[in-house]
Amino acid sequence: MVDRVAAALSLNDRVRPVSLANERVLEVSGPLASVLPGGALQRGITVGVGGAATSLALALAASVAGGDSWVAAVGMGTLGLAAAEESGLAMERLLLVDPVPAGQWAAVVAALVEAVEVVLVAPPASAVPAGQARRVAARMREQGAVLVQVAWPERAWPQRPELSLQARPLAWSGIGAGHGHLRARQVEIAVSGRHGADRPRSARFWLPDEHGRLAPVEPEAAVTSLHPQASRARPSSSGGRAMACPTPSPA
Amino acid sequence: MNSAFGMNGSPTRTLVVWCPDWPVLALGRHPEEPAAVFVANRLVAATAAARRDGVAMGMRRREAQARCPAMEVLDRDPDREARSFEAVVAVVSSFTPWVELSRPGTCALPTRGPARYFGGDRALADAVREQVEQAVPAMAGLVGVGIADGPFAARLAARHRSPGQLVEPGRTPAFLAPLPLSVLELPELVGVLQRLGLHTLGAFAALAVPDVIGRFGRVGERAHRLARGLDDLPLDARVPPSDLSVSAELDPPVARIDQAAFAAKSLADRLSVLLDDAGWSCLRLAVEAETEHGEHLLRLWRHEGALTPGAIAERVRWQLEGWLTTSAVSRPTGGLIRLALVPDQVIPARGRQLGFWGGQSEAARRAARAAGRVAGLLGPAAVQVVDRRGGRHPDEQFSLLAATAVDLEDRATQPLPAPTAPWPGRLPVPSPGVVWAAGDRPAARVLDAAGSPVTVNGRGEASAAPARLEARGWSRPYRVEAWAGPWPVEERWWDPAQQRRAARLQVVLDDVSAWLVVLEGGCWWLAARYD
Repeated sequence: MVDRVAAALSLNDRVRPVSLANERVLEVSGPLASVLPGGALQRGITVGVGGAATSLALALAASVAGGDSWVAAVGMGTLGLAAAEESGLAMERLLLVDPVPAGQWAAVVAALVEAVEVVLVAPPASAVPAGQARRVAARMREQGAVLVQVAWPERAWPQRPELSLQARPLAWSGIGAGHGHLRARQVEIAVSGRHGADRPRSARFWLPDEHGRLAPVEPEAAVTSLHPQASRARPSSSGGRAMACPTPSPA
Repeated sequence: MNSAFGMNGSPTRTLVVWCPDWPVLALGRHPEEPAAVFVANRLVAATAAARRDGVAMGMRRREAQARCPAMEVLDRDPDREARSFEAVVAVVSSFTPWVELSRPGTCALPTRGPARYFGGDRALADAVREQVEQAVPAMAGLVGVGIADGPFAARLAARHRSPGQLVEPGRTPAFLAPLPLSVLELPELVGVLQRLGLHTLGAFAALAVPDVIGRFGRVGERAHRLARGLDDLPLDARVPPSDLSVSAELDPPVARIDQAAFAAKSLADRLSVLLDDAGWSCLRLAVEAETEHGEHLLRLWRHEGALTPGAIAERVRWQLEGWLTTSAVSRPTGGLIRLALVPDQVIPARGRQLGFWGGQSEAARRAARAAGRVAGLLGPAAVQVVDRRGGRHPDEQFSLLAATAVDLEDRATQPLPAPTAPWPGRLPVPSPGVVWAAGDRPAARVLDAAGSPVTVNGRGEASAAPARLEARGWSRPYRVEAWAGPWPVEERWWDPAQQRRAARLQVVLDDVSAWLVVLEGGCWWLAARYD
């Protein structure tokens, strides 16, 4: 009898809905977890992504959307699909909506958040009335999707994002004065915002690394100058690449 | 419902109308223009003109273009194939309403009634051919009409010789016997049989049934039945009870295709729940529609595998699209008031492997629903999914398909096929994050240190080192900090209409932004940004 009660209680524990707001998170895999508050992404929020916006948005979507979750890109007609694939995004679970007529943005995003974990948007200025954006935000909190505003704050969704990721490009490597090719870029990703991210933090990454993915930078490979190419460019006769290109290693 | 194609085991005498090369002809190409349709870089259909130049099924795009340089390369459009085929089906269904479709390009009908009316098989075949060629003038002299015992043999009879062939009743096994095993379209099974020294359907048919089942199981048994000229229905196929159907009254009447498709979608979802509960998969489905003026349209759809809800909705949409948008005589005069889905043959569901709690499939189903809703808002082609294609430029490596035209549940479980070949001249990895389509590229100017424009000579060398880059819409010119290239690209130099000469240059500017600029037609353009 006691056993049964205990079993019922433990069952009760197990089936209790886990719906506390800060417990509903999207797992983030890979190096990006180290800069996000709590190492994960809270469901239902909007994230502003700026600086090297497209690469960072793709890297974020790729590290969130594992398993069977889908990703949608809305109004991103110029998205480089090869770059999306190299970033690790599952192309078979990617929906693209473009172009979006003015006035339909909120309806489209509201329909997508029901099915998709991550929605990337790049709306033109004042395409979305603030009232509609609030309704979309409410729907997102309910469904637990994450809205990523690409190229924030230049192309802003009217709602201010809860979390901001800014990737400041530091330097490209692999390319010189007429030789080599673009191979990898170092960026500094700064994270700020509400909900546990009120204290800004930042770290350096390869974005993209030489396979097109996001990778952490080892301390000795970090660049110091903002404009190193011109000053460090050596004549091509000194062989191959002008800049030393440390091989980024995966996390 | 089932009287038309018998289910008693003996094959039904069947007429098959076959429109060759349908995927390419449906796109409005004439058989005498060289053109071909590719899916994932493999050729799936070509016009007669292209085939004369040595282009064959399954060829890679590059290989096919090398053999037939003038050939036009097209992407597959299943929607349009189905829509244009409706013109043929409408004509054929004037002979009997029991027209069965498996895929656009081929349809079948039982000959028993119509043959008696028209005075024999030959007269019926001639009448059907004449009517179809009248309805689709581009197909004149190409339509294959075959009659045999059973749809499989009839299909082969239709394709066997160009005007098709009549196989006398009872002569079907003799007709099939000399044909090669490859007509079974089961490459794995055929490979094994060929290694066993069997090369024709006749040789395979001569094996004893228990031996075939013991060695090859279910698949082998079905192939064996086909080879013997028997009916190709699985033995456990049956007629479902009449309450296993769904219908919807549409009030007010629906005249727009997207509204009708929306209704069809929810019907298909309901039907799939009914079928799941009963433990059946649908092999053949009847779609019935009725207009406010009492017009009635019925189509039978067959699916090689069992029909999933996504696949059902897709077929309903094709059919309605064909019916509501054709200019043919068959076009209804009023809006639709009733829509019904009636499963016509079912087999016990053996089930597809689903994730725990629905898992993968549930996420895909939700994605398909959301795609449907957005398509309802913005039009059927607004939501797109990605398919692989080959190409050198970043915007050529993938093609986009309308999400409502593909079965998302099937797609979600299989990654895109890996690239089939390296493309020499492809840009090195990493690829740019922002790519402008050829028509939308911002114009740019690449200047050297002296301020004069940089040009590229015929040997692919730059006239001077680029020092500054300016582009339309920029507030100031930027200093070039580093650059690589120019890399010349020459594509399709053998074809004056499609040839393309360009030179590409990667540059890094003083704000650490990186760009791909292209010199084409004497002007520099921003082609992509490494954002």
